[in-house]
Amino acid sequence: MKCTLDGGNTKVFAKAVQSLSKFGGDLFVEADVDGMQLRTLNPTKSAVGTYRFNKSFFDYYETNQNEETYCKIDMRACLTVFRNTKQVERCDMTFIQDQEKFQIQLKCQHETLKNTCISVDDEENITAEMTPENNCNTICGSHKIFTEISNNFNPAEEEITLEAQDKKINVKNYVEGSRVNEKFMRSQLQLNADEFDKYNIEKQTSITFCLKEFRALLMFAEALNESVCLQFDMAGSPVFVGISHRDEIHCLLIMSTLSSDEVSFYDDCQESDVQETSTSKLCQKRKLNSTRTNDKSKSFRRDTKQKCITEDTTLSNSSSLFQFEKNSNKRSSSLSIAAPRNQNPSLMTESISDNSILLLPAVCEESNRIHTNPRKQTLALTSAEEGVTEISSSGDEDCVPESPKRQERANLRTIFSRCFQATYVPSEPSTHGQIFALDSDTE
Amino acid sequence: MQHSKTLYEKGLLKNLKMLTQRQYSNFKFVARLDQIKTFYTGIKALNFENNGKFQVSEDGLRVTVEEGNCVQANLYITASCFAEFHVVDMVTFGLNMNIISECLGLFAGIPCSLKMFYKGDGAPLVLVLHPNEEADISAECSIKTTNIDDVIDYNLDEESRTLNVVFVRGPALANIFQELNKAADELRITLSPRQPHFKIETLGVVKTETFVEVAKTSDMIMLFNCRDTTSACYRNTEMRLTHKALAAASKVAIKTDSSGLLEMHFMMQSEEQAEVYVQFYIMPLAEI
Repeated sequence: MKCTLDGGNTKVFAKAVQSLSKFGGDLFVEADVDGMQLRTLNPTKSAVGTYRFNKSFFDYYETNQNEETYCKIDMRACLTVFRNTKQVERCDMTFIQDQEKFQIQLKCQHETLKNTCISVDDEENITAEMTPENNCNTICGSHKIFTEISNNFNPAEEEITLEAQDKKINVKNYVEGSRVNEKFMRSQLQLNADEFDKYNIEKQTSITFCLKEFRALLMFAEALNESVCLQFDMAGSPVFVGISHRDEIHCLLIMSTLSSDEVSFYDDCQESDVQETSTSKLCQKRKLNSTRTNDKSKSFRRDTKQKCITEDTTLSNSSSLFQFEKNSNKRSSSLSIAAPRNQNPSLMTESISDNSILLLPAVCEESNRIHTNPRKQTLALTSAEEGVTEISSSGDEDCVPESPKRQERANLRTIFSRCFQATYVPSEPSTHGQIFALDSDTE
Repeated sequence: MQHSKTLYEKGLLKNLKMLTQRQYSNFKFVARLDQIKTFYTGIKALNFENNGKFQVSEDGLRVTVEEGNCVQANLYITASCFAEFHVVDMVTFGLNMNIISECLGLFAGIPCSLKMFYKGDGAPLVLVLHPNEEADISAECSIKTTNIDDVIDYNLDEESRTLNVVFVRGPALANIFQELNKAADELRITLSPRQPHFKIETLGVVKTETFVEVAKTSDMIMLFNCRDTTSACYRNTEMRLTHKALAAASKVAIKTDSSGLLEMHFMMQSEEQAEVYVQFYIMPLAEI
């Protein structure tokens, strides 16, 4: 296989490699008559990403008739090659030495040629013969909306849960009823169907999947400035995230989702939840127990639709730690606002518009907790009937005027910068070998 | 250690702005530099080893730093770069590079002028730093000097029939070196009148072989004068010692011959257009 990319497409290709590098350590390169694809698996094999480049993407693409080359190379080696593509004018890729090495030649400005030969690890490929069903739930939207959603959560967050309903969708970083420790802070945001380009929920469902690979794919979607499509069925079935660019690039990320157990565990979990939260008076951040991710080892060579996780988690809906307050004069299509996660619990989020939905942190005083919907099947957390107003909705009244700024003589700090550093440098021994006075205390 | 009073109070410096004739008689070496920036950059580029040898002659100042028997770095500042420069015969002393680097950096980047005084054998080197904008602040440093052995005299034979000389633009070469894999063990540098003209290969990275090639017609090459093909390997850690000098250089001269000894001149343009340059000698690894 031999192919050539021009400068602009090399940058796109580099972005693809950078995005895939966030998954795992091996890159599978597969080339056939119609194009080339890059695939990778994450370490737990619970997600596979495939970025396919049609031969029209390349300036020149040649394979032997009926030839299908596939190999596995080290991801880091590939990433090093494509790390800086600013000065690249042309990229040539080919297999040399009888498919034993993968050669990448970059022709750069100033008549510079950079050549890398990466040894092929293995002749392996991934088979993931899975396609989304025709009648499954579909949500398509610009990369911007999904990036906003993912930015709403802590970068360290591992999983998110999507609760998809007819007209709206809840995205949260926890599954209700799950056991978490005291430091964990739960956040949730609700979006209306009209925020997305296409919103088609055949069957209301709730799925939980890993955020890391999703973010990696979003990074590439942003580079391409394309929209992203999610297709999923019920919890336990894989979710398919796809990008399509001008018929030249097709990306597909297949991720497994947590399966939901029957509600038999539901009551037990809920009670313990109540006990945990009733002891605390203030809302505290809670660290997520990341026990879930370890059990997700699956082989994609199995042609199964159902991906089951051993972790027992349930979807509960009536331990409403979050309360929603809608202003009385809301319009029918009010904006959904994502409240920033790491908030000072004693302050409130500022209302961005009059018609915003405010996200109040869990108020753990028993008297204010309102269990809105004891029905187990409804996933919506609806608003509190009594306005919970002990926390004011805007920060204006709490604003304290700023203290007058000190006039800075910028030079002073730089001139005396040495005074702010430790005086004693242990590496240089004292000239006399005798200490007459010890260092004074740092106060 | 000498002075607890400043030189000014002692009457050694009559006028802070200018050195008078009388002061020279006490000192073997006196110099004044109006902008320390280039000098400071040069000292920092040499600060990979602690022991530096200062040699002052009528031509100028030379600072030498060596690492083992493999690498030697020299900083050359000609007498014309200094606002004032007086030396009695040849003056040689050793100094801790880290200390002088810290002293020159006392004012953290603010433009300063520098005066240097050296009384003679055993005396410390006195530096007086004076920020150009602030009239009422100055810093005085007194650094102990040591005796130092001779340094190795490296030399590339100008007449050798395998002498290769290439002048490259500083920023472009810095770019190339920066992109090389830092995990490599060795670098092989090949210069040749035939293709490939200028090639740097990284060796020792697992599963990857990389090289960068620049054609002699490239606009980053200002001069290409190769008499024969030379190729030698150098340790990556030693090559990386040049990176501070490379980052500050406006142009770089690379010279080598069949012995493999690599000489690199990093020209640093100072404000007054007088040249300060750092010269590195790097020994090749023996071919097995």
